Amino acid sequence: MTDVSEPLLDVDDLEKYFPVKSGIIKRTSDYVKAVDGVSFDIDRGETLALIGESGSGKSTVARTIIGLTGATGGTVRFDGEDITNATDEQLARLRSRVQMVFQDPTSSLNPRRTIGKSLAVPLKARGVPTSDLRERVVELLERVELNDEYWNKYPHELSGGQKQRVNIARALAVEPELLLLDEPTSALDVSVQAKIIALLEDLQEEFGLTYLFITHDLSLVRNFADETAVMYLGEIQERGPTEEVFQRPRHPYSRALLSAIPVTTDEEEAYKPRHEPLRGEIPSPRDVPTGCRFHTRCPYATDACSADEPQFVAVDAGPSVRCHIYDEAYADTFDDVPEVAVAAVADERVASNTNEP
Amino acid sequence: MKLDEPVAENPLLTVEDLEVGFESFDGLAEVIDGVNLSIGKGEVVTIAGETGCGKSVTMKSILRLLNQPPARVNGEITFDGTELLSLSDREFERVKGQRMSLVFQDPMSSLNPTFTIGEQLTDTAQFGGDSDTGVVEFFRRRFSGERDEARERVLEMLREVQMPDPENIMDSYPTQLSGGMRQRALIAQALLNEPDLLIADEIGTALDVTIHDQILDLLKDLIENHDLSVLMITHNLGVARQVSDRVYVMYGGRIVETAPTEELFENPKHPYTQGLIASIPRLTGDEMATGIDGSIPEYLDPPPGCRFAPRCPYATAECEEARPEMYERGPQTGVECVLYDEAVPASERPTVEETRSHMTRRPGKQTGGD
Repeated sequence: MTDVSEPLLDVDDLEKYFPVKSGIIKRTSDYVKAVDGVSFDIDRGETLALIGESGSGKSTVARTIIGLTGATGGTVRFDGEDITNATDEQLARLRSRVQMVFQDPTSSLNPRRTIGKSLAVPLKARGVPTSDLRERVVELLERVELNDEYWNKYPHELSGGQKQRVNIARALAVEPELLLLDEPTSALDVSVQAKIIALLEDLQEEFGLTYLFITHDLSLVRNFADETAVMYLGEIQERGPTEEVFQRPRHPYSRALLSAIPVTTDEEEAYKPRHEPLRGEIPSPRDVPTGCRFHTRCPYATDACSADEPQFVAVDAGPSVRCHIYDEAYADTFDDVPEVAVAAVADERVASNTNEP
Repeated sequence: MKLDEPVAENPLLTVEDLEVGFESFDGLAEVIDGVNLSIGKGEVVTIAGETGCGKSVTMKSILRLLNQPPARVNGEITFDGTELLSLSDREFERVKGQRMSLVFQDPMSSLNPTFTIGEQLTDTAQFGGDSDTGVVEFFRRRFSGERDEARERVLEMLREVQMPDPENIMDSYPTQLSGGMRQRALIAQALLNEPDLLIADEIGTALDVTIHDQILDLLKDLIENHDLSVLMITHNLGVARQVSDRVYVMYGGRIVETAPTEELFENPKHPYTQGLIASIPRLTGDEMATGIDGSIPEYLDPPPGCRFAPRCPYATAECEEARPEMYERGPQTGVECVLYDEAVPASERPTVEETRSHMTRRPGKQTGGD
């Protein structure tokens, strides 16, 4: 039906501005630029991880893709079709192919419906006959490793991990191709988080699902995502293959995020870039800094950074980075340039160099 | 050999055989079941564990924050030679106000939204541990030069916690501050009266990673400068490793393992600790275990023996019968697991790798519990 080589989801220069109204007549006085020119694409069966702190606009990206909020500018293409600000008719079709799993497993389930009823809703919407409903719901529950006892249970009887399994099952009910996962594990304990991630991996393999995985936890992404994009204040700052972003984080913000993860072994310590604590906090998206948005917190920032906005360009044919450090034109304005490879990778390189005759 | 508490040298706080139950319609929930722990002077000790394992209840019973009834607290809590549970409320209030401080997890709900930061902190500086001053004394202190001195002290403390623009912050309300700034204000408030013991409940976990990182760095500096003894409570083992000298791992209302931080992370012994460490996603990209099967015990009807036995891949009939003792396995190191009895050969004790392989995916499994 479609060209397989084409990406399943193609987001181009997406913008979402929320108006700020003030005064008696509620005139729009300003805009909150939650998403400001975000571009990425995801191939079929792949996972893209969107990383960022709270307020970076990562959830807004997902909500705009699925049409929960309208886009201010840019285009979203799903399977070749332009779905930016989709019509109702388009949305109806779209939502059987794109589904979303939210962060808080409790508030996304109706407390007055049993799990069985909650799972039956999307099935009914797909036109499954009432006589088959129970069988199909049990099937769904089994897919997420829950048994049929859950049919009659209410959400409050379930633990956080179980609730999140139900949410995943509900998203799967319409047999979607793309799942938007908005921090699906951040409300869960580590041992439960590990199980949900394992489940998502299994499901991806089984149904060839495509994931947009939104998280603030970088270490979770390492095994899980094919590509990683780091967002800061509504812009993607670095995007590339996960392996590359972790082993050679180029943008100072990616480096800071990586170095801030509390890890549990010395081996992992070597996988962190040099510790560079950031100054201050994320600025308000109402009042975006001039030039590079990150310059107010960047340990390498120079005058050029506050004046000119860096372009999003590919570095060494690898990941794309939005930073002047990697721009030839600004090369002499920086006296301190980060060693890109993390210690563990640098060690390997030294070791392999010395092995050579 | 049984590990004898207190293991801390020169202990400031010791908790012995703490038992906390909660009366409910369905019976008594035995949440904390025989917890022993100690904190030495100048030591940073962490209690680590997942949601629902009793970390916060332990902390609250130390500070007498539990309503009795429904809670029933038994045991012995000694703070610098004073037995806390037998003190009257008034006496305890004094010890707590002057020598202990608590920083809560949620910086928003622990600050009063109707007072400015300056007012709240100055009140703490003037009246901390002195809740029954009387009207005359209150007015004397509140409207005299003492107030200005206290204000000065607050400003100094705000500078010490690296609060940006402290003069303005003094006149701001909590809602006007960001999460990171609120957390700094709380830390400043906790340190105002120079406590000996600081209890930090999940400090900074509600914040973004980069801010969390700043707060932990700050905390480390403050611990050193003020020579604080700290009891940290966290679910994040990475944080425990970064900050603390010694770690207690809690599961199901019991301490299952304790060791100096380095030993615990290099050589985790209890199957639960091993499973927990194996479940943490790794920066190295090594395969992650798929989590621990099952869920935490029902406290109304806990397993009779080891509380981890129903989820443990190595459990035997013996584990289900009686609670294992805390076997001593080196200095300040103990494990509550039958595998660490002297009679058991070392080769039968699991390594993290073995536990990880037990917990990595087995196709076709039906678990259903998280």
